[in-house]
Amino acid sequence: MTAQTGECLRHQGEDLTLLTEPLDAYFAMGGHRPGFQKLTTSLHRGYVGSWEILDGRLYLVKLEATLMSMRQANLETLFPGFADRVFAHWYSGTLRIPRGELLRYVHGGWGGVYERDEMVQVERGVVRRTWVRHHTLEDGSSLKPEA
Amino acid sequence: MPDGYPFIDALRPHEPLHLLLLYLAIGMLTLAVSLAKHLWRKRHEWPDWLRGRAGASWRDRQSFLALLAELDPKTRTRWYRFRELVLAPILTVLSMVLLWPLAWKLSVGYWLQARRQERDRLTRIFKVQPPHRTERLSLEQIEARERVDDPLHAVPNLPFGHLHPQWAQLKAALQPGDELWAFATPWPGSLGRTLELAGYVRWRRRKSLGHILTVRREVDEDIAGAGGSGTKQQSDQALDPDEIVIPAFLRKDAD
Repeated sequence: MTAQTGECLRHQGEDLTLLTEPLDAYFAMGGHRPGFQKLTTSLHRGYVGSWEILDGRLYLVKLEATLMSMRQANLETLFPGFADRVFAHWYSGTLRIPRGELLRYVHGGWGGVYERDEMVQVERGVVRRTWVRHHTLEDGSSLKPEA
Repeated sequence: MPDGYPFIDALRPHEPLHLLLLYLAIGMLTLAVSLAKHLWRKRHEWPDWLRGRAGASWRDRQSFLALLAELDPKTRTRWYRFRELVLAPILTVLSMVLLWPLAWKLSVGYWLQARRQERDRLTRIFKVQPPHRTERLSLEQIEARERVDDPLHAVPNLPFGHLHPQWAQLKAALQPGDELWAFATPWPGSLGRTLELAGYVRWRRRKSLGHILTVRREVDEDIAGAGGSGTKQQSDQALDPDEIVIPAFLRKDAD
C-alpha cells in the first residue's frame, strides 16, 4: 500500500489538500461510476477531484481522471450538463484538511499525521460546523517525518 | 504402449533428466499462460495498430508516461531504466520458469481470496428491514421533501438532484399496492466502521423491493480519520453535553 494522493480543496481563498473522498459516497449511493485507469499506485481511486467551499456549500469544480478507454474524464462525464460546478448535496460527513508539518509519515492511505487537522462537518452538502484537531507526538520527539 | 516413441519416452518421469525437463516445461507453460493473461488484462494499453483501430489512446498513454517521468526524475537514470526494462523482466521470467509451484500457489491463493471477498460483499449488501422504517410517505411528499436548491444552480431542478436517476428508477418500478417509507439505520461499513444510512424504500407485504439513499455517512468518522498510534489528539472545540445530537436511529435505544 502506498500513501494516497489527496483531493484538492479551495477554501477561504486557500488552495488546500483534502483527505476525504466525497465522490466515493456519490458512487456508493448509486451514482454512475465509469471505469477509471489506475495509472499509479498512489492513486488507487483513479481520479483527483477539485472541490470548493463557497458560501457554506461544498462544490465539485473539477475532475481529473483517465477512463479505461484512455480518454480523459471530466465533470461532464459524471454529471452531464454540469461542466463547471456540481453541488455535492449527496455528501454528509466530515472533511479532513491537514495543516502544518507532517509529524508521522504512514506508507498507506491517508494515515499520515499532521500538526493540525481542520475538520469541516457537512450535512447534505452544507457546512454545519468546523473545528481544529491538534496532534503531538506522545514521546515529544522530532516533528520531522520519518524517512 | 510400445517402446520407440521418443516424445512419449520423454514424458515418462523415470530419469532425473526427464523429471527436470518436465519441471521446466511446466514452468514455460506457466510463463506463457501468465504472459498471455497479463497482456490481455492490459489490452487497453496496446498500441492502436495492434488493436486494429485508430485513435489517440496510445499517444495519450505515452505522453502520460512522459509526464510521470518528468515528475519523478529518478525514472530518467540509466540504472532505473536497466532495472525496469532488462533486469526485472529477466528475473521475472527466470523465477516463473524455475519457481512455478510458488506462482501457482499464489495464483490459487489470490483466486480463493477474491471468492471469499465476493461472498462477504454479497452477504453485506444492504436491505431495509421492518424496524428500519420511520415514516410512511406519499410520492408527492417525498418529491417535495427532496427537492434540492442551490443558489449557483449547480444541481438539476428535480427531486433528489444529482441522484434523480436512482429515484426515477425506483419510481418507474412502483406497482399498485406498493408503499413508500422513509428509513434510517446504522449498518456495518468497511474496516469495522459503522455507517448511518437513510433514504426511502419501496415496500410491499413486509418486503423491501428497492431503496434510494439520501444519507450515507460514517458515524464516527470525525474521530476515525487521523491520529495514528503514538500521537495525542486535542480538539479546539470541547463538546458541550447540551450540543450533542443523538442521531434519530440511535435515539430509540438511548431513550
